[in-house]
Amino acid sequence: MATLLTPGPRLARLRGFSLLTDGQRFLLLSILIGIFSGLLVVCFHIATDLVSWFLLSAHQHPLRTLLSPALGGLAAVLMVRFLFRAAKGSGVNDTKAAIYISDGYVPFSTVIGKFVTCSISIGAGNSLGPEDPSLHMGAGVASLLGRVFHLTRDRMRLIAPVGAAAGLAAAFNTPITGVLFVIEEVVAGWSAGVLGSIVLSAVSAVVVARWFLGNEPLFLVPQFELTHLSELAVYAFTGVVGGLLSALFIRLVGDLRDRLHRLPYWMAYVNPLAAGLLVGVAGLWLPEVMGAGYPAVDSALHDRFPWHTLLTLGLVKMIVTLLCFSAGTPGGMFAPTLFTGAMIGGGIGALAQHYWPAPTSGPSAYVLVGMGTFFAGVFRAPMTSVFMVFEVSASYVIILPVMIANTISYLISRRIQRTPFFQMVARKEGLDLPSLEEQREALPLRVEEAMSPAGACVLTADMSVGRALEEMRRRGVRDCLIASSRGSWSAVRITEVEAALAEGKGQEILGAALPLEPLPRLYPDVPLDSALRLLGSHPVLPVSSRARPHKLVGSLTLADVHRTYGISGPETGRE
Amino acid sequence: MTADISPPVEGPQIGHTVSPVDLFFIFVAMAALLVITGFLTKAYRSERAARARRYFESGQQLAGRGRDVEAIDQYGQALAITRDSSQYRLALALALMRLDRLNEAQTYLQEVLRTDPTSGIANLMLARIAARQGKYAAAEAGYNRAIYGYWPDNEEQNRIEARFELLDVFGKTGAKQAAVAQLFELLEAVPDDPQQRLRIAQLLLKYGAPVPAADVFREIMRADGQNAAAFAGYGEAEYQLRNYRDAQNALRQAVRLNPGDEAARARLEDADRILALDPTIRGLSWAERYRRSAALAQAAADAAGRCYASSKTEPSEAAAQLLLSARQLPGKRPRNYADAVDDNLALAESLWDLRVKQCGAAPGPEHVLARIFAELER
Repeated sequence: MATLLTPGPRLARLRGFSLLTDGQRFLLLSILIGIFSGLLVVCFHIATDLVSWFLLSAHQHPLRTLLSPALGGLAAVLMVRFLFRAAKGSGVNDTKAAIYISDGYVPFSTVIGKFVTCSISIGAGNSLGPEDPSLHMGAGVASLLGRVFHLTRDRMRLIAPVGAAAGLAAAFNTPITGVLFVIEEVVAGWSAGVLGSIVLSAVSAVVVARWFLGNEPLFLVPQFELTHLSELAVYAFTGVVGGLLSALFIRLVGDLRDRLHRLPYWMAYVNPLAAGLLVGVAGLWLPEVMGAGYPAVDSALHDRFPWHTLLTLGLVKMIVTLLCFSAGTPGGMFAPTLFTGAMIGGGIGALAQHYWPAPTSGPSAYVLVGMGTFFAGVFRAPMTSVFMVFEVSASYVIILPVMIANTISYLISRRIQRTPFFQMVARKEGLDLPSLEEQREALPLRVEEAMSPAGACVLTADMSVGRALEEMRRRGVRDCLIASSRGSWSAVRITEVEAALAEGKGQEILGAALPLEPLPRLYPDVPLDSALRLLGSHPVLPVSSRARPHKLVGSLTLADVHRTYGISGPETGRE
Repeated sequence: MTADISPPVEGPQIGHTVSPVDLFFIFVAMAALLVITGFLTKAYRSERAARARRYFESGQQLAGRGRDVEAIDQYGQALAITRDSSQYRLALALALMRLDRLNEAQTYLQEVLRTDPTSGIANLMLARIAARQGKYAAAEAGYNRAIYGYWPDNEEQNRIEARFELLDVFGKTGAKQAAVAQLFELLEAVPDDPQQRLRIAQLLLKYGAPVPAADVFREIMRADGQNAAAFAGYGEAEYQLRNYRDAQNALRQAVRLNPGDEAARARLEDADRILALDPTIRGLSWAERYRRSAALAQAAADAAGRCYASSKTEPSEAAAQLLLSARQLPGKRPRNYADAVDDNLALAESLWDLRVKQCGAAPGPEHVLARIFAELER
């Protein structure tokens, strides 16, 4: 049936639709997703600010400061409970669930639910961030558009991360961060098609967001320079502290959530109320810890706080975020982790300025570096954390300390707290989603660990059938490689040789008597599961050196693979 | 392991089953969302600008009442809302400077310069911070950028003030030539402002350029015959140029016009004393020359004696002899005044040399003697 997108052949040629491949149409859909996500994120940003202006303003009555987070959190939780159930979880986990569980399905009510509930909870001052809800809304929009366009199952699975990248990129105004985070944390790798779609959607979303909200980066960052090489040690220490604190934070989130979930069901309404009240109490003393906290980070970047204030803000923010998130108040964690890391880093920098024996940069440099360390330690996305700091600051000078501190934080956090944050949260919510960090860290088995060394049965194509059979029987093998004069390899089974002999071809050479098809080559560094795909069609495969492809360094059979994987059973290829 | 999105083996491909109605609604939804977002953004920006303005104005009021700490908070709130405002940033920086929070102020000013590198006021503020921190090279560069930078209003006045402040930096670094060059630029900038020209002339004197200073003072005096400061300045310039008669006349006029000017009065006394003591002034009789040369020798002896006494040192035999000779001068009647004058002057110079060798530069009242002897040396 002809439709607008599939007109008849003549019209299609005129309009050129048939010139677009399926992949290209997917890319165009990605742009559409980016535009929708960008528009939604802009509206969400405005809504959150409007709520904040209405509920919280400078010099308001203390009672308002005290009660706004509590009432906002309660209202948001009630809405999630009774109106928008699908908006309950973490955006990252729901996007992963869309890939691995629900074939790309993210209900559209999620989008509306996240928009309404998170703009209220964050705008009311709860210590949560807007980025995860933006990511979730992007995934929801993408899923809806995927369903409208009737994508195949494979493509539907990937459509949610495309939208997620768009939402995150628009929220942070950082296209690279949005792309990298989704690749590092959600899809665990990329092919040309995936990368193209994610990049296009992220870029489209950021273009839309900048069109409406302006081009400014998230923070206006002062100029930096590395004052003294020994300063790198202080940055490294910042990474150590960031790693320790992030591991502690993850553990505390897990423990507190467990404790709160063991309480009676009606406590699900009391918890956000209580958490909000505690945020309000903290807000009376330190209003900077309320909401996402970006203005306070900006002030810290301008050296507005002394070291004790910076450290206090970082620790209090960590606590109130822990309370809000564990209590189930809707909202994200990205902004609070940036805040916490920034303040702790700044505090360390301010102390170093007084006590480090060599000259150091101002605390604002450490605020910037610290921002990434806590993020890297909590979310275990080291590349994203580095690029994020680079993108929000537009400062390349700071990249070296950022790389050092973030990597140290990531390694320490990983060492102390094995389960990453999102996986821990998913398990608490009853989902067993794959940990992409663990997948990355898992050492793949390679051909070189399974192959039999060169010297296993190798015949030549000009060997006679009879002689070949003798050789195979002498070695006790069922399959042999045959080397041709052209440098390629073939394989032969003993049953084929016996059949040829029975046909009276005993004196003929193997090359004439049997059909010898060239085999694909393996190399020692090839992952074993790639080799396994080829062993289905071939009983034995040659393993060559990449430097000298005609030189045989070993052979690989299914029995070799089974042995390496520890699978016991009747061996093939050996009698 | 990568997620493979190569074309599926089975199943419909993208778009082949999208109905035109669905597609139409998608684009209508996008258009509607665009329009809604546009309106929302417009209202949001307007409200945001209004809120920022209110915070800023509140900050201005607080700053006007000297409540800078609270003003900083208000400016900070305004900047948190509209981060691209140089005006708010400058106001915040100024308030921080008033509270001596120079590092923070510097950060904000550098941000202003990033977007507007020719901002006169930002460059001026940074120069002031650098000067307060003792970073005179940076201060000089900042003041120069301020002088040639962009000023939204009172351009000339601000440039002039920046030049005057730059002069302070030159004064601290001892760059007298640069200071004088700057003063010449200032003179060109204020051709019709007698107050400023008077100020410039006084600074020319301070930085060791009495000739142009005298020219400027003279010009002011011609225009305003009652300007006591101009007369005082001119008198001082002529004094420095060793034109003591002209200095005396000008300083007399200055003291007459402004009896309370103690500096002018003191300088007049110096000029009077020099003119009373200097034996080389033209038109004096030989007797008067002799009398003055003898008085000069005695004054030199007194100065030398005070010097030995203060340093608790005994004069050498030769020095003692010289001191004695000087003390024997009163009451002597020379046979030949010309020779006697020369002898007295030689004695006086010898005694003065002793005093300088023993005690160094001449302080206070003895600087008059130093001037006279400098003239004699010429």
